[in-house]
This record gives sequence, C-alpha cells and structure tokens, in this order.
Amino acid sequence: MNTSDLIEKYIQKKATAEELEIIKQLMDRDSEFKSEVSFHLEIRKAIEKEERERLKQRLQSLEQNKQNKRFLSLWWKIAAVFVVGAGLLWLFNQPVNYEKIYVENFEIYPNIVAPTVRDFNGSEESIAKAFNYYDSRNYREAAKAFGALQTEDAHFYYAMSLMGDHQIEKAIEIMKSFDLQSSEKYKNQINWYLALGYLKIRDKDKSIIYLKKVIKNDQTRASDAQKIMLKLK
Amino acid sequence: MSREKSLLEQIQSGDQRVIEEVYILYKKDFVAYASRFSVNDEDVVDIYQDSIIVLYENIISGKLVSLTSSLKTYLFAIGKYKIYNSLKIKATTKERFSDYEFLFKEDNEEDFLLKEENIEKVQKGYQGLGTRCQEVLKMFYYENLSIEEIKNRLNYTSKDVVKSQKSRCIKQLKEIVLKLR
Repeated sequence: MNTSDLIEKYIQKKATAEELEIIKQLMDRDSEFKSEVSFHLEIRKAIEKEERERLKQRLQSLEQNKQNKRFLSLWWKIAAVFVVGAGLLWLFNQPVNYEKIYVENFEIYPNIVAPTVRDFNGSEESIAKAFNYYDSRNYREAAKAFGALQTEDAHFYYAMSLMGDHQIEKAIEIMKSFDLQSSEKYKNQINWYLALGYLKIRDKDKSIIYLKKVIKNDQTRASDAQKIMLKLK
Repeated sequence: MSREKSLLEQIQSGDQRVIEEVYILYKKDFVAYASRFSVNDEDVVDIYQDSIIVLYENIISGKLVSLTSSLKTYLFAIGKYKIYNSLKIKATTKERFSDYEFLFKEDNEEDFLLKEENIEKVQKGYQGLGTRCQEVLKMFYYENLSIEEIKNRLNYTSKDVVKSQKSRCIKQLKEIVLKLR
C-alpha cells in the first residue's frame, strides 16, 4: 500500500489498527509525510467549514424567505382589514338618504271612505267631490276640499292630500291636531305617516319616536318601520 | 416513521433540498420545545439551524444510518445538547448525551495543531475551484464517501478516473493555497 492510500484511509477514518501504527511511525520519521497528512486534514477541516457555512446560509435564507412571506401576508391582512374597515366606515358615514327612504315607503292612503260615505248635513256633494279629486290624484284640490270639512275622515284625508301635494309641514300639523291624535280609527295610520313626514323633512329624532310607536302598535307595518330605523341609525 | 425513513434515505443520497424540508417540518415544534429553556428567540433559530447541520452531517457521514428513535427525537436531542451548551449548563449524567456528542471534536486531529489561518487559506482555495472539483472533494472529505461510492454518484466509468480527478483537484488546490501563503 502506498502512502497516499494510507493518508486517504486515515483522513476517512477507515484505517485499521495496523495501518494506524504504520502511519504513526511514518509521521515520526518522515516530516514530509507528516505535513502531507496535515494538509489533508486542513482540506477536510476547510471543506467542512465551507459546507457548513453554505448550508447555514441556505437555512438562513430559507428562514428569511419564510419571514418575508409571513411579513408580506401580514401586510396583506393589514391592508385587507384597512380596506374593509374604510369601506364600512364609508358605508356608515354615508348621509342618510331621507328622500330615498321616504319614496320607498310612502304610499298614499287609499280611499276607503267615499263608496260608503253619506253626509246628511248636505255636504255629501263636497266630500264626494273631495274624494273625486283625491282618487284622481289631484291632491292640491283634494286638500282644499277636505280642508273645508270638519269630520274625522275629512281631517285625515286632508292630511293625506297635503302629503300627496308635498306640503309636509302642514300635513304634520294637521296630523298632530287634537282630533286626529285621539282618533282610534286612524291612530296607526297617523303614527306611520307622521314618521314618514318627519323623515321627509329630515327630522330624524321625531321620525324615530313615531317609528317606535308603529313597531309597538302596528303589526302590519312593524317590519318596514324596523328597516327604516336601521337605516336611520 | 416510513416518511422519516424516506427522508433519511434521500438525504443519504445527497439531496440537500430534503434537509430544508426537514428544517421546515420540525421548526415550529422545536421553537415550542426550546421555549422551556430561557433562550431568546434569535438564539433558538440559530441553535435550530446548527442542529439541522449536525443532523445533516451525521446522516451523510454515515453516523446515523438507521433510526432507533424518530428523526425528530434525534434532532431534538442534538438541539437540547446545543441549548445546554449555549446556556453553559452541564448536562446531568442521567442524560445520555454521549450518543450525540459527535463532530465537535475530531479524534484524529489530536496529534496536529491545525492553524486556523491555514484552514482559512485552504477554504479560500476550495472556493476558487471549479464545481466539478468541489463536488469530488466534498464527497470525499465532507461526506466521507469511498472512491467506489463517488464513482457511482458521479457516473464515472472507473475508480481510477475518480482517483485521478481527485488528485488533480488536490494539486490545483495546493497551487492556489501556495500562492496565498
């Protein structure tokens, strides 16, 4: 076996006890052999160091990439939260579109009186005339006609005609008058139309007061009133 | 266990990407495990990386041929040893660290006082070699592969080709180092 084979075995720790003895003797005798062995050990050490550093760098960049990804995804999350938040903020800060809610909900109260009305005080003609205007959607004339009459029905339809003619403040005034406020027959209607009337003139607080009454007392309109409340808040 | 066995075999066959897979696989658990010791986060990552390197070296050098415990247990034992080292705590004698005290000291270096500056020069020389030379020398000196194994790994026609390639590379390395000296 030549010396380079011996060195190979020694470097790879594959030398037998016998071979190790030979190597030891050679190293004692031959300084050139010893420095050759030393050089190979240096190579092993150097490559080991280099490869460890390379692997370490590899793992470090793997870690860095992982962190970058995490960082990036974190930023995406923050950005997403921000966008959604801004969207919601925009949504909630949207001015309440009173007109829109009013138009969606306002429907003039139908004439449920005229076919059966019989006015024995000689005003039959005038109430029939008023309803005639009302049914033909001439609310201005209807308002004038109803306004001249003094019955509960006439008062209610007077207010309705005023709303139909966009005289909201006046309609509210009539609806809040004593005899309509105490009317059992029109109580629920009055609350509903007052809520809508205040909505139309952008009086949110007063509208809410009447919406609450509607929710409490008027089964048929409670869910509509609830929806409007949500939009107002 | 079979997955771990295949990971082990892939690393043994020289696939370095697999060690990255192992790294990611146990990272979270290791950080949780290390949190019992008072090591700061930065050090934990550093220790984990070094432990992975030791694991890798033990696998390629054939020190870890088959698993008696799981790969994870083995890796964590290395890590624990390194944590203790970093904390300068002497492991209690009950702990069987002897199984894992490897590579920190080379037994056949005792007769030699290798100079750090010489090693650095050889390292620089190694960096200056072509990839083919680096590959052969890495296999021989770092992975401790036999000439036969290198021949198979690199698809050389005979062991003599490997031998002459290797001595050519060493000669080249020597020349570079001499210039540096």
